[in-house]
Amino acid sequence: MEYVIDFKCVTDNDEEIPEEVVLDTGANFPQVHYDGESMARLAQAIRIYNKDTVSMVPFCMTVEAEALGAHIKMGDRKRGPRVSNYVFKNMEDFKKIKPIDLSKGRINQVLKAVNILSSSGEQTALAVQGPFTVMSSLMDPRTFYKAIRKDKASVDDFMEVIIDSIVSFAEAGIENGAKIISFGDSAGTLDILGPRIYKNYSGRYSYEVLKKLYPRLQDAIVHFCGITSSSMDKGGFVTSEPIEVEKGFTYGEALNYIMENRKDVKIVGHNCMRKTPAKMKTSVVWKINL
Amino acid sequence: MSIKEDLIKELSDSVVDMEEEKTVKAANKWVKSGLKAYDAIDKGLSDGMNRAGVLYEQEEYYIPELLMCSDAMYAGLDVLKPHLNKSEEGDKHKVVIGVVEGDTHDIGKNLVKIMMETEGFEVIDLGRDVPPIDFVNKTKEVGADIIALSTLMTTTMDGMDQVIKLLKKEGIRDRVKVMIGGGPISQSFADKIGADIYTTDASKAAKTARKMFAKGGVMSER
Repeated sequence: MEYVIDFKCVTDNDEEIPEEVVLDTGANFPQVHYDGESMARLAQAIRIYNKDTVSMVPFCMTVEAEALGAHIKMGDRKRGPRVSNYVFKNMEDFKKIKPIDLSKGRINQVLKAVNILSSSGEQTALAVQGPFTVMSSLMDPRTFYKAIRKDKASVDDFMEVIIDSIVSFAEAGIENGAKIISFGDSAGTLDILGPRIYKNYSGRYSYEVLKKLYPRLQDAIVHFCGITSSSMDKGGFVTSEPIEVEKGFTYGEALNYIMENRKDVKIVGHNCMRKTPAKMKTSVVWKINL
Repeated sequence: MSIKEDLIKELSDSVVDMEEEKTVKAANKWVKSGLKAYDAIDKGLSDGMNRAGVLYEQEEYYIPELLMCSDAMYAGLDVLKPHLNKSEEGDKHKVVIGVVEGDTHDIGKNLVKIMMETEGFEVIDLGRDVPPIDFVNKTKEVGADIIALSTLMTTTMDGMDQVIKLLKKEGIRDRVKVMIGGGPISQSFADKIGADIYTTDASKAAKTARKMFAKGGVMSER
């Protein structure tokens, strides 16, 4: 049967952490964003509440950027962690970037949460942001666009540090027991950047992350965010093939099935990790080939 | 072509070509020649930005290119504006724009800002992650005609509702039009919170605003 890639990013109320879970667990904000134990406890409670198969951390998109120097406002229950001001203001600043240090700070607590969850038998996913998204938290993308017109080599050197940092974060997640690396680069998609900048920069950077991560996956898989994977597919970086699974599965169950029965599948995509508790409308998991 | 025509073309082209330094150079040459600053903005910079807008609609340009073009335009404006006569600056309609508190996604807001400016509005940009009260205070301070609010996140949509409530509380709701937009925003949400205008994209937002305030400022007299 023919299947079409028809992924659309749905931004309904999925970004919210259910009120009941917050009350039941007594979760404290912003503690759940910086304390590994609270983070793990809340992730598990959300998983149980949603009747899901996977517990996922962290609950924000700013962890990697913060570890690379970004200024983050931690926020409260209603409004989560976000960038307060840009640290890299011009190309001179690019030289200031240093490889990520996973041994301290919030990023270390996220790894701790992964460890706590996986040690207690949870199927654990670590959400990892792509290079363009991380860059967008470090600087106004205008700074980046200007820089690529002036000195592509310096930009690539800067991005290489980000790429390697992302790979080591994901790898550390796997070492701490994560079975799914949920990878997405929502700020750097084809429809935002257009084919030229996408192919020469964002798409190429995401591809490098996957290429470097692939041999280090052990028995984990990469779940590739649908808008990112379909951008990569359209941009010619990857190909994809549908794998039919049993009807009536939730997406989470389908991922478990793939991990158990299809050891050849290491990267899946064209779908969303937020859909793991939902019954699949089309019983297909997309295998992504690099 | 005359020097004037040459320079107008140079200004327009350097905006389309995203050449900030060339734009500044051409603008300086213009000022030195003692020509009217108004014409350089109206026929040069603004024309370039309009051409960039067309390229964007034709999918030749995307967001990065449009942002770079607008940077070139702003750089040119910085040179030329001080040389405008007061009467030429006109009484532009004012827009206070920003991304609501809790959210830092500002691509859409930046596009609306650029297009509003191209349509002849004076845009006061409060940036990202803006508390509701700041919109209200700035509106009062500058006497804005429009408040434009944007968000990409469902968790922060309520901020728009709060702005409208604060406007009512301050008794100035009738004085200002509230425009909203962004990924999760819809007409029904706009109706629910009592916003005046919702549009699906930046270009429509600017055109709708322009229609509402038919008399534009310097850059709209085309």
